[in-house]
Amino acid sequence: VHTSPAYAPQEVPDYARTLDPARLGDHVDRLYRAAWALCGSREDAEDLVQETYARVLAKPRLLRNDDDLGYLLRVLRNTFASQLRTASRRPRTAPLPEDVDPVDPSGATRPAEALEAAEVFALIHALPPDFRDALVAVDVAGLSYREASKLLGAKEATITSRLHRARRQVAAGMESAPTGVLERKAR
Amino acid sequence: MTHTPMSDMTPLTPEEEARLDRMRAALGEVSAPAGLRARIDAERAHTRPARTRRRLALGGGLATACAAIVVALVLVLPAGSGGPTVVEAATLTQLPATMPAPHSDPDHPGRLQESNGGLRYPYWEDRFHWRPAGAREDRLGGHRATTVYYEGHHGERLGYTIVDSGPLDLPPGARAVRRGATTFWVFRRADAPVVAWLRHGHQCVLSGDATIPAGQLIALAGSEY
Repeated sequence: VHTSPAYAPQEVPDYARTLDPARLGDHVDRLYRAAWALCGSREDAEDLVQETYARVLAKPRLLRNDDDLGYLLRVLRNTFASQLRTASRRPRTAPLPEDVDPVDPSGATRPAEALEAAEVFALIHALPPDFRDALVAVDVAGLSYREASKLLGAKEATITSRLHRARRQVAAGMESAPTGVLERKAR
Repeated sequence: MTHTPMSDMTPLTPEEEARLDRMRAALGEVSAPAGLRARIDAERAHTRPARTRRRLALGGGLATACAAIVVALVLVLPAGSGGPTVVEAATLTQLPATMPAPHSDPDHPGRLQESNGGLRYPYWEDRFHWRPAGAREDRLGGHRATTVYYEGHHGERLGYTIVDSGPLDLPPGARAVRRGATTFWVFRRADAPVVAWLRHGHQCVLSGDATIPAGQLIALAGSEY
């Protein structure tokens, strides 16, 4: 993926294409889930996805393949890392007024499932970063092992190992979830 | 970490697999909130390729000190050099009035006689105690830009600018707030909150003294819907 604004036109390979903004909306749900798992907060996830789209839409983007989702996830992760680095020293441009509620804050279709999803996201967020990234890429965003390998810059065998450990930890967390919500469907 | 690599890679038990199936099912129930989708749509509507974008990057006290220079630049730049921005439109809300205050329109209750692009300005004195205090007209990137100034009980001042154009570029970091079906964009310029939104596709901007909170600006802007 080429994102450098200095990328000279004569260097653009024949198979490069411009990211189509009209298609970006197809990936909002997956990006939102990935963002929630990374941030651990629904509200921060919304901000992260919005910022990701703002960055992507700020200028034309050249891609070398059809993996729009992989590209968006890369920007999402970079934006998340950037936000972590600067959060303590950069004031927000304009805090939301206290009397304004976000629209459709649940983001889920049914209350019970929303609660269950929130607990699952909390478990994923609590994973060690390498494990969490692998699980977010494959189980949350739906990338293949190969795509996750490219996204995370690790060998497929490493992704496989991290993913397996991440799944085991999440499964253990679901077993001991205090509210019992996660076990409701098993009864 | 007490796990060994071998123990970590032992196959998952059926119970663990079942829990992971429920994990995937729970995650599959989650979709992006409608508000987030609307903000992204609005972002796309406001976004143009960088090479056609013209930015004036001034902030804080510098923007205040150089406001007159900025306005001069804004108003003389040719339309072909790129579209004007919301920040430039917000500059107009801080300028002095050059025309008398428009009167309320007896034929359109709740509206003033001043309009731009077919959009009439709101009459806020009875409901919100903001009386019209003056007006001005400018050209912004070739578009007609009109501003009506309102004055509050204690001399607070705000300006309402309508640009006879489509959506203008927003500054980085602008935050979206939904009220009903309308998305309002909020940011700060020279310490004063600025609210920008679209009325029938025309760019509207509301800003005033730094003491007027963004929530009050949104409430005023949203009162028209």
